[in-house]
Amino acid sequence: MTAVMVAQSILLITGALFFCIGSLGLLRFPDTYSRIHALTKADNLGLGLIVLALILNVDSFALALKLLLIWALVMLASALSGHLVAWQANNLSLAVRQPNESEQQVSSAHE
Amino acid sequence: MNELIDLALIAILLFMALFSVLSAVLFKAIIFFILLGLMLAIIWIRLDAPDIALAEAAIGAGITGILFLNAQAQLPPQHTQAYTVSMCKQSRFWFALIASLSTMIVLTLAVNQPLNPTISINQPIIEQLNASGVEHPITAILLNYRSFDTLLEIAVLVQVAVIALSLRQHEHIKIHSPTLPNPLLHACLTLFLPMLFLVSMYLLWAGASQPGGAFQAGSVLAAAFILFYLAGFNTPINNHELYLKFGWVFGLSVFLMVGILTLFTGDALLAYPLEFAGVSIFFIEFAVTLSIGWILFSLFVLSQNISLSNVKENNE
Repeated sequence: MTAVMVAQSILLITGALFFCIGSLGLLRFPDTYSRIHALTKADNLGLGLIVLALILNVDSFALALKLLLIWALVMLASALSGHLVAWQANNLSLAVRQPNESEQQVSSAHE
Repeated sequence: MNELIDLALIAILLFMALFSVLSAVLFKAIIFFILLGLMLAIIWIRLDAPDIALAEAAIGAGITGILFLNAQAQLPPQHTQAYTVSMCKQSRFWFALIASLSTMIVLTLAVNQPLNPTISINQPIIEQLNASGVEHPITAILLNYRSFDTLLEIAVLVQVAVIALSLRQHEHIKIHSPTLPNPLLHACLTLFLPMLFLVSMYLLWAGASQPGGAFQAGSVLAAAFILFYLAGFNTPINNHELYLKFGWVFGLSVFLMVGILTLFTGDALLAYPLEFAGVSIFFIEFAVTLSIGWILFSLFVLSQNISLSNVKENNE
C-alpha cells in the first residue's frame, strides 16, 4: 500500500462522509433554507474531496483538468439552484422554523 | 467486492422501481422514476455501455423526468393528492402484476439459455470499421450498418411531436413565455448556455471516435433550450408554428436526402460510398441532433402551455 493509496482512501472516505452528512442535514433540518445550506455546502466539499482523490490516480494533465472542471461546474450549478430554491421559497414566503417547531405551529402563528 | 456493488445496485434499482410504481403521491413517484433512470445509467456504466448510460441519463432521467413533472403540474389539485382507493381492488393492478411477472419469468428462462456460440457479431463489426467512416463501433452500427433503423427512429420522434401538437387542447391559447425574473439566473445563463451548446457539439463530434452521438447531443441541446425558455427569453416558437414544424422535419429530411443521393450512384438506400461515409454521417448526425433537441424542447413547451394557463388562473 503506497502513500498515494492511503491519501486516496482518506480523501474518498472523507468525501463520502461529507455526502452522508449533507443528506442527514437534508432529512433533519427544520426548514427549506437550512436544508439548502446542508445540501449545497456539504455535498460540494464531498465532491471536491472525491475529485482530488481521483486526480491522484490520473496520468494526463487534460484528464485532471476535466475532473476539476466537473467540480467547478457542479459548484456553479448547485449554487445557482440553491439560490433559485431559496428565492422561490422567499417569494412564497415560506416560514423559517426552529428545530422543535412543527409545520402547523408556524403556519398558525403566521395566520 | 465487485459482486457486492452489483448486487447493491440491483437492489436499489428494484426498490426505486417499486417505489415509483407504488408511491401514493404522484410527485414522489416521479422523483423515484428520475432516480430509477439515474441508477439505470450507473448500471449501464458497470456493464461497460457508456453510450447507453449517457442516453439513459439524459433522456430517460432528464427529459422524461421534466415532462412528467410538467404533466403533474397540469393536473387539477385533487389528482395530485394521495390515492385513497386500495390498489389491490383495482383489476388493472392485478393485470399489470401478472403481465410483469410472466415477462420476468420468460426473461429469466431466456437469459439462462446457453448462447449459440456459432455467431460472433463482434468480429465482422470491427473488421468493417475502416469502411464505415467512423472509428466508434456504436456510431458505425447506428449510422452505417443499421442506418435504416435510425432513420425510422427519427421518423417516430417526428410523429411523437406531431401527436403532441394535435393533443394540445386549447388551440387558441398563445404559448405564454414563463418568466423567472431572477437576475442571478440570467447572469449565470450567459455562462451556462454557451457551455451547454459546446457540450452538445462536443458529444456530437466525439461520437465519431468515442461514446457520444446524436441522441445524447440532442438531449443536451434540448436541456439548453428548456433553460433558455424557462428563464423567460423569447423564442420563435412563441409566435410561429412554422418554425416549430420546420425544426422537427429538418433532421429527417437531411437523413432522407443523403439516403436518396446514394440511390443515384447506383447503391442501395443509405449505402454511402466509402470516401464520403464520414462526411455523410457527420452531416446526418448534425441535422438529427438539431432536430432531436428541437423535438424534445417542443414536447416540453407544448405541454407547458396548458399548465401555465392553470397557474395563472390560480394566482389571480
